[in-house]
Amino acid sequence: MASVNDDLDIRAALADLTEDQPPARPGRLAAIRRRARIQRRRRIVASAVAAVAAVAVAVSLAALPRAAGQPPLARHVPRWALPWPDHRNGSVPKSVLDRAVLAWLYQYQMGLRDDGGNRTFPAAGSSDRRVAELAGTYPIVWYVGQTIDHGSEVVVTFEADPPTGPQLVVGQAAAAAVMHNQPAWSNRGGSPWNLLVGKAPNPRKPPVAIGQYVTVPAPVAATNWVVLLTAPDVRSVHWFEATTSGVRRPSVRTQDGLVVADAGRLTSQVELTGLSTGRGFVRLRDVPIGIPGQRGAAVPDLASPPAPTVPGSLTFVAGWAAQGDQQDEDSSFAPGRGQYAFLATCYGPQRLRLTVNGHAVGTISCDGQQQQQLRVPRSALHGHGIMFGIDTSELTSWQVDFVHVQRP
Amino acid sequence: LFEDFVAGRSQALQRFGYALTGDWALAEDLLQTALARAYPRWSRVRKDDPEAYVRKIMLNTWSSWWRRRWRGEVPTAQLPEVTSPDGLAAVDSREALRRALAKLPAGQRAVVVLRYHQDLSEAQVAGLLGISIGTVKSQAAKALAALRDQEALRSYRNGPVHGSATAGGGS
Repeated sequence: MASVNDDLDIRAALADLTEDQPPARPGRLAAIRRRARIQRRRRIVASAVAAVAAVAVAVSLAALPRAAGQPPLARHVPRWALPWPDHRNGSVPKSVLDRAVLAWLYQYQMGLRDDGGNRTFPAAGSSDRRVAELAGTYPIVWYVGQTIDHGSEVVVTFEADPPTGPQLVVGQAAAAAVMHNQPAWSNRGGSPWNLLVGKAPNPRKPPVAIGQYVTVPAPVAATNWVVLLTAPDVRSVHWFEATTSGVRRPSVRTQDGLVVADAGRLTSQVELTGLSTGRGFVRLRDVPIGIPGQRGAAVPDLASPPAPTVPGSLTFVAGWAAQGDQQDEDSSFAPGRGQYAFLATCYGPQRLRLTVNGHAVGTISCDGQQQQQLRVPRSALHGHGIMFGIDTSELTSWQVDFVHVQRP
Repeated sequence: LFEDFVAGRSQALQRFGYALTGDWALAEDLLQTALARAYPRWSRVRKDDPEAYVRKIMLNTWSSWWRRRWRGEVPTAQLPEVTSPDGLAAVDSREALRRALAKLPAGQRAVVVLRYHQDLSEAQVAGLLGISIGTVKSQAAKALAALRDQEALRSYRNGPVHGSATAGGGS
């Protein structure tokens, strides 16, 4: 519990911390309008380009007979790469894409055991030409490089062929953090790029799809976009999605094998149920969207369940809201008289298994909206301090409160 | 009017952004991003509290940046791209507090900034972050305990060292 002094101290400290505010940026309003105008124009252009492209593709597909079994729009790529189209649409400048490659390259070099510190990164402010030179250290084959969500996010997918063998790189970044050619790595050791790197798939046995979730902040609640890459002869994909608005089984048309769609506030994984190709329909057994060999990529950020309601007869002690496993410790906790309990709301494929100081105290079933209560045995509480543990599936989203049951 | 809002509330919102990010340039970018997102929807924003709307966008945007930075972070021995000259940072109470805030988990930091910098009630913070009031209380208590343990608040025991304290900027 915070003392009155702490309360005053932190207010004074925060006020003091933010006092040396730099002068207001000149022309802020004009810059905001310009940015909004550019975003609106991008939306209009993107819609127009998509419409024109759709018509052009439809006309060309109808007009040009294709050899049986040959995927449309295939391109010549090295033998180690997937022969799928390059979907870069020009919405992300080459200099930004080069920096995405640099972000991967540095990560790759850091992963080598005996690289001897041989890292060849430029200082901030290096020319785009120098960055491009470094990004060309190893062969790169691009698949996706574009903005989504009206220009707020950048997504990339490419394959690289370093000496240790081909790698698949799928990534995302906030546009504001990369579109002004910000460094691929900061001096704090962090990168604006969030990259998932794994072994490249065998082009002779290509995966059904390569997909990623992009969680985008929105005024009310975060929303999940799905970026899905398939073979170019896939005309539409069919999937199952569960969101806070309900369950849907949409059929989504691809653009030469690429799908970019806003799936909303997800409450479970999106699972592919089928593909429509020029040769017919392929039924799939609920294949989760993700990246081959990257289990974590198949886990979206799920919407939080409603917070537990603490009745007047109970006193709140601590609370958490998360997804998957979590542990927490409170060294200042001293158990009082009476009983303690957990209140929880959760949904997902697994129950919550709760532990206190290493003792299993029980499980809570996750049936959605229904709030559950679990009493904590006194034997689990001893001395000062308490360690909580919540174990469950990474696809189970929950809120848990630890409460004191007051004596009458 | 949007123009009046930007002119009147930008400074306070940028201070809020700084308390979240610990970096004036990032705070500026955060605010600019939020305002650019709010601008096209301004006619539909609640007229009685447009600031809450912009603050919510700032929070969501920041939490997205924060999550990515954390997930993308890799320990490094050498710094590949240096954006400022190396050197010892000035050790003063502000820097100590800034660093201590930066070490807090994102949820605790958001609670502290909203509760003590923006001067929002526990119920308002709970509503903004989508968590219970109890969780707001426990997160705030934990954050204060952590700041106290790191002695980030020590210099402020008898009031701020630098200049005079002002009221919370954004309320």
